[in-house]
Amino acid sequence: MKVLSWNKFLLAIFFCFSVHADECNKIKDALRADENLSEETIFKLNEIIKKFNVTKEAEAKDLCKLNIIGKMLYQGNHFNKNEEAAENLFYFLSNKDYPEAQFNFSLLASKNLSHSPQDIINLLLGIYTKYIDDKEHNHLSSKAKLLLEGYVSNLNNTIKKCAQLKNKDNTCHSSYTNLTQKEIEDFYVFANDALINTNINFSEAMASGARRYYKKADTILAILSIGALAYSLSAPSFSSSGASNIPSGCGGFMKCGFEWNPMNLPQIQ
Amino acid sequence: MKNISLLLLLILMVGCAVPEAVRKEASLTLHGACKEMFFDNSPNGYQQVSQLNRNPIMLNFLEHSCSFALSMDANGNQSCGWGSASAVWSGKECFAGCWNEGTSAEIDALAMGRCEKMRQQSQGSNPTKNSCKVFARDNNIIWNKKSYESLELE
Repeated sequence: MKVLSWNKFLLAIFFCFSVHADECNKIKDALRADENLSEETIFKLNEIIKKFNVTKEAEAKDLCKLNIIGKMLYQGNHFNKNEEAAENLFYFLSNKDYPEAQFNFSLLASKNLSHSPQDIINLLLGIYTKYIDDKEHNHLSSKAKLLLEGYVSNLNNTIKKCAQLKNKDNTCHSSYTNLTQKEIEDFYVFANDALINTNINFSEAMASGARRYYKKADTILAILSIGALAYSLSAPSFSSSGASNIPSGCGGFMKCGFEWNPMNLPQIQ
Repeated sequence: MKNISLLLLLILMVGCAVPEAVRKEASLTLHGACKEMFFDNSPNGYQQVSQLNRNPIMLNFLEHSCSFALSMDANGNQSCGWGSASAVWSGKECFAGCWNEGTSAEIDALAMGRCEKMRQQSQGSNPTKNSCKVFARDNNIIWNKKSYESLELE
């Protein structure tokens, strides 16, 4: 009885999670294809964001949908456009270790001039190294690298943009407004050096792993060779006497003084 | 029998030949040793490894089987390196059933890491500028095609 209950419980969990994942993927696909969402889906999404706004908490099964809501808020799709709310939602989900939201937050933060460049660089470097070997999310690693390289190469323009915003009474993070040309260079060097070192360290780790791999393969081959040698020495040999036991040109279907026809097939005369 | 062998050889040669469009596109950027490395059709060369590794089982797990990384300085000097799924598997000491070992990002990182080493050897101790970037994944050339500005939310 207990086993049955456990099975039911596991089945329920498996079913619930796969249903939630499926539902989330369906919404993603619909949005990607610019299709209209069903009334039921919109109602569900509204319920989730309402609940989140009240409790400031989210269940694991809702993280994917909250990430979608974040995208919709940023794009002004089905919700009123609210970039700040989207960024805050991605920040919340990032702290829940939701990979897509971590990238989304870094993407919005790199466009938002109220964050320190050093924080953005650290965040993107973290995403690059964290998901490089993640089978499901390694594409985020590649995207984070592309974003980081673009961000540090474009810091000069960002500062110019900041100066223009300053004239319009908008504020940029003090790290931007006070940045000198030397500091911009330093950020560029820091970010690129970190990426280069990560890649070099990875290739070196792979090279030493490969050396161990080939050493193991050599050992296995050597053991197999010794085994084969020992077998060939101990097994009776058919040719060591110098004369073959099988008459040449005979055997099988050929009649050569002796009959060998276990399956009783018709014989060639 | 002789005819069958010749036919098989011909099929193999055609199968491993670089498509003309790729040859033209790659030749616009690559030159010297890097061009040779990219078009290398020897048994352990980039073209053979990338095309032999491309099979339905592998493509189920990985988007590509090989990456080619390139760095180019202001004078046009090039450094390059490439990585493959099989190199990542042996690097992870995987002997059997390795299809699910390694990721596309790791193949890229291996190619870039090897390219960086070559670049440091040729350019000396100031390696930050013109770092290595992915030039192609298998025969799909992505050099200068992807911009960070085109990145979209996940």
